Amino acid sequence: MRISRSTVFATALGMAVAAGFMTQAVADEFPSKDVQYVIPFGPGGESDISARLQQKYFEEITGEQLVIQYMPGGGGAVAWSQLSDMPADGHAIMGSNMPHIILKPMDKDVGFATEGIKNFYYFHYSPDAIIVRNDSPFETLDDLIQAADDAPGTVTFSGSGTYSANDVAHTRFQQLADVTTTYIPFKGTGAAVTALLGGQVQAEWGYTTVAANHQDKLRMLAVAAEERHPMFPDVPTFKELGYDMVGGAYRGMAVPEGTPVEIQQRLSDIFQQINQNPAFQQKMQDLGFVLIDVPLEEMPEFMAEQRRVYEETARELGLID
Amino acid sequence: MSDAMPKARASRGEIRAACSARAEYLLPLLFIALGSLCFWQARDMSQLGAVFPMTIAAVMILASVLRLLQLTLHRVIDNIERHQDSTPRRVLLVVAMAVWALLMPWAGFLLTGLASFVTLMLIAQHDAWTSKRLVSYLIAGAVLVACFYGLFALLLNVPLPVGRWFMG
Amino acid sequence: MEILTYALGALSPVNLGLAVIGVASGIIIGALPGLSATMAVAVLVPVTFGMAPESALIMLGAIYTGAIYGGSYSAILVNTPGTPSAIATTFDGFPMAKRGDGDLAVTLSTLASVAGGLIGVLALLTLAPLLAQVALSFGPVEYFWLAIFGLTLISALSEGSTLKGFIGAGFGLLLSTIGVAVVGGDTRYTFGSQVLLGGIETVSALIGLYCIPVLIDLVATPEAHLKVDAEQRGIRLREGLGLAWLGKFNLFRSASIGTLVAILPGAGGSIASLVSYSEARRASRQPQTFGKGNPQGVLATEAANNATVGGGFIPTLVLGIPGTPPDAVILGALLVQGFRTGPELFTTNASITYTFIAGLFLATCLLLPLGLFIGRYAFKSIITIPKALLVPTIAFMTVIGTYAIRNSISDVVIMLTLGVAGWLLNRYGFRPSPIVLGLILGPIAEQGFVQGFLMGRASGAMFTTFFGGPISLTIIALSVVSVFYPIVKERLARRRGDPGSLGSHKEASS
Repeated sequence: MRISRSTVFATALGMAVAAGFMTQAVADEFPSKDVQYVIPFGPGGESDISARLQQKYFEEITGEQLVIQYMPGGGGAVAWSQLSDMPADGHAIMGSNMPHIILKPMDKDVGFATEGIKNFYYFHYSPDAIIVRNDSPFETLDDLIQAADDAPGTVTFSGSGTYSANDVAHTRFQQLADVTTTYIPFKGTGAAVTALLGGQVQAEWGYTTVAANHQDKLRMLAVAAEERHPMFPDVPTFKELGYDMVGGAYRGMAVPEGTPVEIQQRLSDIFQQINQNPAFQQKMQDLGFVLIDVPLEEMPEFMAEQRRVYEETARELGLID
Repeated sequence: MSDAMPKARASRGEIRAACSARAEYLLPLLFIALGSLCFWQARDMSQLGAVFPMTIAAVMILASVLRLLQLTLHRVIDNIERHQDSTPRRVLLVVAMAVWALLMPWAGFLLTGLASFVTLMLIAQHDAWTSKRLVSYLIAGAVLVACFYGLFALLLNVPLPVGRWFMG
Repeated sequence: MEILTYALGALSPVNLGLAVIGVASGIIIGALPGLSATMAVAVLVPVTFGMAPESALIMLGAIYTGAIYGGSYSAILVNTPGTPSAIATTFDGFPMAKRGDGDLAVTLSTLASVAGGLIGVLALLTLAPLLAQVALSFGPVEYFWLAIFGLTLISALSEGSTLKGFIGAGFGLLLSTIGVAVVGGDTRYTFGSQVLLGGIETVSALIGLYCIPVLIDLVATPEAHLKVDAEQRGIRLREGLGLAWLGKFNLFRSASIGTLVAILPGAGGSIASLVSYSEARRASRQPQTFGKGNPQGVLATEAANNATVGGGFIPTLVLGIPGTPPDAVILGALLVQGFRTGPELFTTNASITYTFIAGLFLATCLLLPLGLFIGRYAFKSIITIPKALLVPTIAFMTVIGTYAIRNSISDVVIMLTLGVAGWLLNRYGFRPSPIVLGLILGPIAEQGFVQGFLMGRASGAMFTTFFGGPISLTIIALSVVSVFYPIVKERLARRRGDPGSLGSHKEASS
């Protein structure tokens, strides 16, 4: 059978156009049913709380429900390793957390690769912070550094997990301030803050959100953000104090590989719209989060920058050589 | 079950095995092997990660050795009271459930669910089948599967596997 | 009494109706193994966004209370604890059901749940700020010793050889280390498989170790699952009330232990009912009948595990640190509703707090009529359904329930594997309970130990870190008592020249 080249070309073009129209139409109708939103952690954490807040506005915008499910295990690895098995039509999305998705697959096979997680929107982050009890002898960051200088290793920090955002921040701070302190990993932020409240440790590597939740008992010494948090105008940033530290736990959403770009764009738009809602912004701020706006088109750049930063830290941690 | 032997308790100095006397020796040996394997594997872990499993493996090995000592110091008698039931059905049940679990991602929840419901029903039925009973059980089974599907997939929003074979 | 105003305000017909629906659906969800209170509450949260805040709170509390209680049905009737806190219910509940007293066991569990639930909520109402401070004085070292104390219960709980009990617990502890370690970040015993990275999920292990053996034995014989008496005895409420009255001290003690232990976030809920159970056994005049269908065993565990509802909310509401996963979901819903934890709890936030507590009270009281009614129905259907339908139905619940925990087929395969291993081990005299105890307490013990070790190294005083605190010393003393008490008791009994009642050799009593 002979088919002329032009016929092939025309058919291909026609199909491409038709496909383009179809996906466009699909994207316009999206979402056509409830969207499943998998949180890679257990309930009650910051990922869960922010998802619960998005849930309400998602329904207002799209008319469909955002169904939240928990898939805890392996510090998120259980969920992310199953992302590729989920339907790639946009009706299944998953929470995506930085630096977890970069650090986890670095030194071992955890069943997923950073590239396999197609982030479509990153919406906020909780800046790293050093938190102490109100009655702590450490009034400023310098007090703490002084104490660590006097007796290396005696100042104890609680934090959530090993090779986590907290662990990374601790390592980085040790290098920048040239001190030795002890980091004690706990299972989750809740357990870490319990240890601080109970006086088992002297300080905690946590987030502004932790301080916002326990304002009556805890205070922060420094925040790893570009600017002071509007909720805590008296707390200096690390940068002001001379330490080049900006970081924290970034949160966004991802879809499985193979999800049409139009759908990803639509999802990105929906969540961007939620982020622009003043009521949502106020609630997020009250909880201590800092909103960011990384839509689909800026994602490659954002990811590349984060990878560069965390690869550096991972080298310091000894995760990779 | 033989009633010829009195249901006597093991007297002092005797240990009655839970099953056969040989198995009573075999199992502690198995746990010693398992403990050693875990101990061996823990070499590659960091100090913080290894201390707990190594301690536990050591304690388990110690307990198993003590148990073996205890067995050698006493006379071990077989347990003759244990039931002799239908082992084939037990094996079939486990096999059916395993096949079900492994096929579910491929063939989907509804299809495998119905098929395994019927299979398990056949395995569990000891009396003879009458056509009336079979039909009524099949209907009941279909209703139950439908109820479970409704409860989980529709009410509780659990994403049950649709089946990769049908997803194209 | 401010609470009365809020309670009366909460008692509109609509809210009452929502509470009834919440408790009833909670009971049904809790009764299905694998379907946990967490899931029930999580599904409900978005529904509550559209409701008035007080209706939402009442419904959430109701479904949670119902689900915790509903777990006793599967524990009693099919030997499957739906949550770690219902493990001890199987010890006496299932033997009672086996011998034909399933209806009585369900009634007893209802009465005990109501009593325990009320005491727990009362503690939440009156002692919350005080008890929250107690919870904070538990650090890593205290958690470590608490887990060790929990493990010493094995010597009291294991029938047959104590050594076998310890070997089983070791096996469970090793199982608990599978996956990515929280402290240290090592990947342990996954043998290269990604399936095991997330570790063994506790509830799927419970389903496997307890329910699969029941299924395996169920198909092997033509005999009925539970013995059924020919005469219909109704719900046996009078008999149940009599037993509950006899065990009133038991109920009160168990509920108090349940509340107190449950205030410890993370560890409390699973340990509380085990501690209550072993205390009830220790206090009993016939400890040897425990584990063979003693009604007081059912009373003790069920009073304790419903008391954990109120107890668990103490750290959740006062400190903002959720004690259990369902508490975490409810806390999330409260935060979205504009609630703040902390000192404003009983001042600025008083209306939300008191409405929520009033809702829990209401739900606990509703357990009595609804529980007796649904329980009767559950018992009836389990005994009347023919075996050829019962087996696939239970099998369905185990498979789909395990799958639903984190939407994972791998968990189902792990559950089945553990089930077969559990059946084999049980045949050779290794009971599932020590294994499960090891699996649950393993992470608590390990994290506590390693964190304590790091703290001790930082302070340069390892010994005082582990043996310095008054709480640690108390728990250590309790552990020693719990190990040696049975031995001493046996010696004393022997000296009195009464060897027959205890058996000449420990194993002979199995």
